[in-house]
Amino acid sequence: MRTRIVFFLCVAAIMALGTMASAATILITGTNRGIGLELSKQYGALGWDVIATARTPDRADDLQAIARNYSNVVIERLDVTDDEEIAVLADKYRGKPIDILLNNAGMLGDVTEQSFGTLNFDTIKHVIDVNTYGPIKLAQAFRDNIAASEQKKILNMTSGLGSMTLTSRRGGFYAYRMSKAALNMATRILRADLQGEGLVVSLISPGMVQTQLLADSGYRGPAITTEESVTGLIKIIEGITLDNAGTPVNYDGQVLPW
Amino acid sequence: MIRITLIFLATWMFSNTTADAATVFITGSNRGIGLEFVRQYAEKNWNVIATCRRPEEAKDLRALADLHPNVSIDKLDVNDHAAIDALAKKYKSTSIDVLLNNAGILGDRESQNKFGELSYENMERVYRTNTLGPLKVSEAFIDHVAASDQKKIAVIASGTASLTNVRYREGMGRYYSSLYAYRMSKVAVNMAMRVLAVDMREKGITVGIMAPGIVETRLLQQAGFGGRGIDPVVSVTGVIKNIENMSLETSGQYIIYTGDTVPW
Repeated sequence: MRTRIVFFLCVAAIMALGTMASAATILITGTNRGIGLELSKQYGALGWDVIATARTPDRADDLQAIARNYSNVVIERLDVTDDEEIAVLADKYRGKPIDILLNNAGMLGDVTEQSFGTLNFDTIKHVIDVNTYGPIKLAQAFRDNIAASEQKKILNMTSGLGSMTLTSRRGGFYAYRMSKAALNMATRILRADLQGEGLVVSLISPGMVQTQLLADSGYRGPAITTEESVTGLIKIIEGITLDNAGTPVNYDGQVLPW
Repeated sequence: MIRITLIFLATWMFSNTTADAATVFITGSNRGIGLEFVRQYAEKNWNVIATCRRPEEAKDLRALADLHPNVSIDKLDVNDHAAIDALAKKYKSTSIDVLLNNAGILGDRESQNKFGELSYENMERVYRTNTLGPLKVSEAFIDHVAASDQKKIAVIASGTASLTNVRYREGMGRYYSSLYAYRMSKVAVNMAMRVLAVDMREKGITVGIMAPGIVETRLLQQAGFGGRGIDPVVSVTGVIKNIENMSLETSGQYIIYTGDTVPW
């Protein structure tokens, strides 16, 4: 009788291990606060293996709290503009399948320094480094991990401010908007380039969300919570397949025009 | 008496090219599309301020300047922001009717065409010239444009920056090339000029995003498509017409040399 119990316990353990081993994995950048933080929490709660990156993990208290709550959430140090840190992380995870690379890390940049008449070109350059080149570098560094996975998704976080159609009446924010337009383009080209290998590449947009970034922009209109945005985004992400149109989809399913 | 009349007539003819004529400021005017703009505007008797990085090597441009007294040449590298400011200061009493941001580069082709082997130095260099250059030039010369009659800023854009038109490799048009750096820089300058159109509305300044078509230039050859472009004369004739038609109502539009709008 005891042997049978032990036997069944072993089978159960093996099955549980099997399930854990085949949990989907997501790598999310910029998870110390805002949308990235909420993404880590919700994917963690869903049982995904979450690789949550941030520039200074030791200062990311909220993120650390999530990692304490969910053993499937692991925090890694990463500055998306730092080639060496990208290489170190890629090295660490070499051979491990990663189902989704979610390039969420992004910055607004100082508002005055990207207003016409007071443009700061160093700031403009830094913003594109983070928002545009960072995601491309990460896609390059983790391409094999994605290809080895089941879902094979690379998703770049864009913005309504990256739309030339939608912003027909808004001025300013040159650095941010140029970086998102360039990110949109890079993603379009990447999608065409990687489609033959079965990789799913597309753009998602969170809507107007109550984050520090939105506050810094001076925006005073209505905004949703990170919880609402991310709940929507996770559903959207689930629905993005290889034959997706490669157009930016908002958290609520709305397709953003270029 | 006849001599005096003749001298008067001669002086009057040569002084025609002064305050009354419109002024166009063109970057990257040593060859290709830029050079053709100089020629056509000069023949329309505009005052042309033609800039390029190395005037001493710009034989064709200098020949035009010799032929047309209303063409003047200035040395300018649009990556040199201090030089842009200095040139703006030099021309501070000159109103500029059309500020034509034409200078642009392809960048190294090989290191921007294969994902996995992309050069970020190349990407930055192309972005600096094609995107930040026009922004800085526009910012430095904004008062000159505001002081003019026509108040127009134009950028020579690219049809390759149309996000709508980026498609799969299979069944793609014969001009498809990944060209990450070039396309990204060109879509970013589209965005910059779109935003500028909004910002400049209250000054009455209009902004045009002018795609020249696929033109037979050295840039096209560098891209690997030499021999497949249209004559610069045809392209520039069309773009000049589009510039002429610019208005506050159509400011910020993305428009190709034929007059058609390009989808974003």
